[in-house]
Amino acid sequence: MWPRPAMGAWCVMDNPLIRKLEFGARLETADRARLEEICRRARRVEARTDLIEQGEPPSMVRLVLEGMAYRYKLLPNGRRSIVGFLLPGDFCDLHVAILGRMDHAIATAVTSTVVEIDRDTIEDITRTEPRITRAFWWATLVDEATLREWLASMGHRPADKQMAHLFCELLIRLQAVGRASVDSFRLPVTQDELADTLGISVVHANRVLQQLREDGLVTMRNRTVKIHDVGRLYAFAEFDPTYLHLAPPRNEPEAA
Amino acid sequence: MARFYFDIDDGLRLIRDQEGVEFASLGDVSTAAIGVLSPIASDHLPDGRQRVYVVKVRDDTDRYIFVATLSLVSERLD
Repeated sequence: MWPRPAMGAWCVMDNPLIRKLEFGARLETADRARLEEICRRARRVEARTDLIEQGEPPSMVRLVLEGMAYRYKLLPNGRRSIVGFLLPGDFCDLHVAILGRMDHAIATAVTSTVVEIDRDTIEDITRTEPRITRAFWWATLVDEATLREWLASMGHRPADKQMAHLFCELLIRLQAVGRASVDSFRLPVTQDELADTLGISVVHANRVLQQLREDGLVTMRNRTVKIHDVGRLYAFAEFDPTYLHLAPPRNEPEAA
Repeated sequence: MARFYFDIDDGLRLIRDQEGVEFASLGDVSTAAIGVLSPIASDHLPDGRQRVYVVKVRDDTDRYIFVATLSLVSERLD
C-alpha cells in the first residue's frame, strides 16, 4: 500500500534489517554493506527459549533475522504479559546496553535466527554513520509508537477489535520486510500467547478468534493467519497504520 | 491436560467452539468459564434493558459438563 523505498543496486534484498531500515533513512550502498556486515554473526535459537531474562544485565544487542520473538513481563501473581512482537529485522534491545538490567524478558516463539552485536559495534556506528544512526532512532521511535497503540488498544478497544487490530499491524509489519503475502502471514504463537498479548483470558481469545472467522474477517489455522478481506478487516479494527511510520523516509538535513 | 469446548451465547448469537482450550482440572474449567462472562458482557454492552450471557462447556466426548449464566438487567427508576 506504500511505495517501496528506493533500493540501491547493491542492496541485499532479503536482509530484513536493511529492508526495514530503508523506511527510516535514505541509506546508501555503504550503509547497506555495513548493516549486512553486522548481521554476519547469526545463530539459530530453538523455539520457546529465553534470549534474555528479566533482571539480567544485557551484554549484547540482539536482532531477530528470521523467526519471531516477543517481549514479556512476568507479574508476581504468575501472569505473563506479552508487550511486543519482534519480527524479522527488529532489534530486541537496541539501546538497552545503556540500561543496567533488563526490565522485561525476551523469548523466541518459534525457532529463530538471531544476530548478536557487540555494544562497541553499535557505539561505533552511532559515532560514525549518520544515516544508520538516524534509521536506528527511527526504529526506536516506531517501537514506542507501537507500544502507545497497544496501550490505547488494550484500554479502549473491545477484544474482537483489539485482536483484529493486532492482525492488521502484523500483516503490515511483515509485508514491510517481505515476510507476508497480500493477505496472509505465519503467526507461530499459541492461543495462550495471543491471550497474554491482548490481556484477555484464553477462553475469551478462543471465542474472539472464532467470532472473527464466523464473520468472514480472518481465519487463524495451523499458525497461519489468513485475512479474507483486508479492507474490511481494517475497517472493523479501525486500523490506521500511521503509527508504524512506513511511509518513505523524509530527506534528512546532511551535515555539510 | 484435557480439551474443553466453550459454547458462548452473548444474547445476540451463540458461537459453538470448534477449537477448544486445554485445562488441567475441572476446577480451572469452571473458573475460566465464569471468568469469561464479564469481559464478554463489557465488550458489547446491550442497548436494551436486559441481556443474558451463557457459557456452556463440553468435554471431548461432546457432553456438557458445566454452565454459567450472567444476567444483566436494568430499569429506569422514576
